[in-house]
Amino acid sequence: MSAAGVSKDLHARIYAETEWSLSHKLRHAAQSVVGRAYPRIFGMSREPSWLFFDLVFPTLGMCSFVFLLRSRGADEAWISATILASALLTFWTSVIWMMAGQFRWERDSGNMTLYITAPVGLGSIALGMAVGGAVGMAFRAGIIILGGSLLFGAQYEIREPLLLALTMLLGIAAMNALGVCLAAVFLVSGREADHLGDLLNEPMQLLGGLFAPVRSLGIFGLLAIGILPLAPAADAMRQLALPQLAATGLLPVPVELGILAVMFVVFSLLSHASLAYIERRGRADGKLLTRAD
Amino acid sequence: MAISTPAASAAAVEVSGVGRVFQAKGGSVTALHNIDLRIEPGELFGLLGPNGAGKSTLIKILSTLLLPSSGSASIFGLDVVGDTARVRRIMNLVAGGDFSGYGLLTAREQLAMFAQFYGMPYAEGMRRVDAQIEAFGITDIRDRKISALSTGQRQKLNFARSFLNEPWMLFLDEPTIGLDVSAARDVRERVRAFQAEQPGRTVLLTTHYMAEADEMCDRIAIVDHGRILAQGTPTELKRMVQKETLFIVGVDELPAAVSLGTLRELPGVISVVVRDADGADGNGVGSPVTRLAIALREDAALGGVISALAAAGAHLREISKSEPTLEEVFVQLVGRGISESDSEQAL
Repeated sequence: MSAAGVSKDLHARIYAETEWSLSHKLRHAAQSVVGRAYPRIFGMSREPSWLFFDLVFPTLGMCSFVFLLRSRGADEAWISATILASALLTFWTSVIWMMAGQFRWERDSGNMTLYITAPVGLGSIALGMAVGGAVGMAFRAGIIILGGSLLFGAQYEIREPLLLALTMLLGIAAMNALGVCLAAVFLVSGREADHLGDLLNEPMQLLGGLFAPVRSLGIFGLLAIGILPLAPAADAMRQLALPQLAATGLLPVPVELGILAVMFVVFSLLSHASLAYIERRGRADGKLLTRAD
Repeated sequence: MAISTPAASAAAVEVSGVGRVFQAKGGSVTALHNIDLRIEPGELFGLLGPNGAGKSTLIKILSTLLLPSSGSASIFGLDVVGDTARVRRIMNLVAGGDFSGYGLLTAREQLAMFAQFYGMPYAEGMRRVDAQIEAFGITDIRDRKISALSTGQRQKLNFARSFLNEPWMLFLDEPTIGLDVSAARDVRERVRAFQAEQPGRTVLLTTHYMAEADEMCDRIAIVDHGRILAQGTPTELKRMVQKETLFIVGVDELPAAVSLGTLRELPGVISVVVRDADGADGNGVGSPVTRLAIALREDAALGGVISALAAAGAHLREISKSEPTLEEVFVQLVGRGISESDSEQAL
């Protein structure tokens, strides 16, 4: 079609198409979150080997702790706490492997180029990744708790289920908000960040108080509970699901919930800023967001 | 900040003095030098040049992936730096060798995912997904996982994705690289059909396939070392290396009543030479053919030549217009062939 054949009102029409109302923007953001969550929720279940390793390896780790505790004659409540911690660990693993390292994978596969050039914000993409990861991990965590309970006879006494659900929700939200910040850091830092992520795996489990209460870490426990969402989440959930271990909690549950809420807000703001930064820097340096040719 | 509606006379693409410098370990590298370019709505414009010429850098700037170091660029009057969000609502991009997406999704699911990202209502998105699957003839792979698709199938899927938001501006960065002849032909046909469906849809294509540029593009810019060396229609570019029009006219035998000298004196004729003096029959008809290479000032002068030959009793066997190829244009402008340029890049 030659330029001569193009109608005079073409530019006005095109400009009008770029005008999106607030409701259009909100619907688009929601659809984008669902769109990005979809591969994580449904796609991953299509790879049986991933499902197998995601469930079996954490369960093996859990079993080793349980057998150790039983051999030392520990209270059965600690067996239940270990199973709960293993379930929580799946969410943290998701943050490290499926959030923090994801943007680099998206860049190297060429997806990041398509995200940047599409009218979708990186925030919607990150939120979709988080929601999809959390839903997928909730399924795995559920199986771990169910399997652990059946295998080892773990029992929980949940007096405040809503509070427990809120703790879990806030914990997952804060962890994923941190995960988005880490995704930006990992993208900027390159492979070194991956190695650091690997190296920090065990220290994070220790500081997160997964298999031993953060109370036993003294000042480091307080520090951890102030910066690592895993720590207040694990500590509060243990208190809520196992009242007989409530005395091992570092802080009262409402305080830990408040800390999680603050963490969620702070990490969300940092995520927003870091996503804006990587897009700005990527467009300026020409390398951060596009696959090397 | 209020953004005014772009002027009705705005081009589809307006590039003014755009430069781009990359910082590298050994110092800075200038990928683009003060590029000026204007592409009209509805055009299929080609950027032709070797690897490293700056084609992809320009596309990245126009598609909002990269900021220019200097100058300005706009898409349908929308500034690619200041109006980024709006630009992204009316454009799309396909890159060659692109293996984006998620291998565990099916082809249809992947398109549906991108439809969500492009902002159309869900039902409309799914309607377009199915329409593109149909249009690209990939219904047989719609429920197959992306990881199981061939390169050609994946690239067709990429094209289908890029058409989902019905972009006014489509960037194609070496889109047929790695495709077999049949798949490349299919996607070229779809691009043409896509443009024909809606007047004003504009395509910017980068390629180093001369035949592809010649066949597809309304206008072409030849780019090398970050500079536009020449631009125009394929015919205009070819005229740069061959000023006159050259026709090959085949006759059974040159009649005695007409000599080469007579033909040379006809209006508009520059020169006439016998090209095929041995009379070998290039058409396989069985009779010898004498081929005359006739250089004319303009196409219209051919009528006089044909009339003169016919009046002298010559039996006309063939007429063909001889044009230089874009490769010859490229060699003349750049000083080397495009494949040589790519080899240099590889070194």
